[in-house]
Amino acid sequence: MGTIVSRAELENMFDETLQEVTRRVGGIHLRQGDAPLEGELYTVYVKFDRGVQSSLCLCAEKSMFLRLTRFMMRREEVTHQDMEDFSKEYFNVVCGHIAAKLFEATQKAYRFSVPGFCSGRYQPEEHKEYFALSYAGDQNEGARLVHLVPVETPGGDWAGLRTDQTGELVLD
Amino acid sequence: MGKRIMIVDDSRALAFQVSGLLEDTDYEVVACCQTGEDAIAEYESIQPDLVTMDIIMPGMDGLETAHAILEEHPGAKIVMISSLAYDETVHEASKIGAKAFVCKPFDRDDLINTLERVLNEP
Repeated sequence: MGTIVSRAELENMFDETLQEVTRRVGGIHLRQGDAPLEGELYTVYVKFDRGVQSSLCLCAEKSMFLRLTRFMMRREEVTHQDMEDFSKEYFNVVCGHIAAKLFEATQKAYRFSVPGFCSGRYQPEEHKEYFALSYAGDQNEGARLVHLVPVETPGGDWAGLRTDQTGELVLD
Repeated sequence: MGKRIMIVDDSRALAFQVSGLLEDTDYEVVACCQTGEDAIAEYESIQPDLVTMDIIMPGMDGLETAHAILEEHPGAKIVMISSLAYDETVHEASKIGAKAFVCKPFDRDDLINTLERVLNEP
């Protein structure tokens, strides 16, 4: 029997983790809100490949990734490669803490891939959005955290995921 | 003489952070390996006093790498550094023979206190 984690619980878990890690690691205070994503955008993402099959993507304005890179490196001059490397490291910490909270809730082990980073908005193929949380940084940088799950198979199940009759996610 | 540290992490950012935190200390970063396979190949020639090891890496993960190094070098001192700090992972690392687990994010005191403690163990 799987542990049912409601969508609201998952959203809350992801939101708390993202806000806390972004503040501690990147020095940026995020608040939930519908700030539009504008200008040059980048996405950092992982695929959960043990415990649950889903993907987590953070799409944000370049200014946010640059700011957290400067904070993590403690210097103003940073390169594009720095931004990519440090954004991936930051998101690794976000996802590690999410995995730890999922473990607390379900007593199941979770693992995820090495983070990827790309220009623009990114959504893995064969995945659909399960939920998205929108944020604005304290310098008004827009960001959007998107949780994606594999598209439904003809049998009705998502690969490795189940929902109960009310549509809630079941973590087996 | 400074203690010689080998960093195993695919992330250049983590190596940068650890190296920065260890500046002006008695610890010297003598090697940074970006894969488990490289770490296993280089351990023998580098003979570090301590290894810091990530868990999530392309190819062999950090737990597999630590296990392989400890099989060949039972006296190796390995400290896991990861954001995957939940009971099962910490327990698995301990079972393999890792000496400590540092959870990301960490600060200078977290890191140095852990390295000091592990290096002072017999």
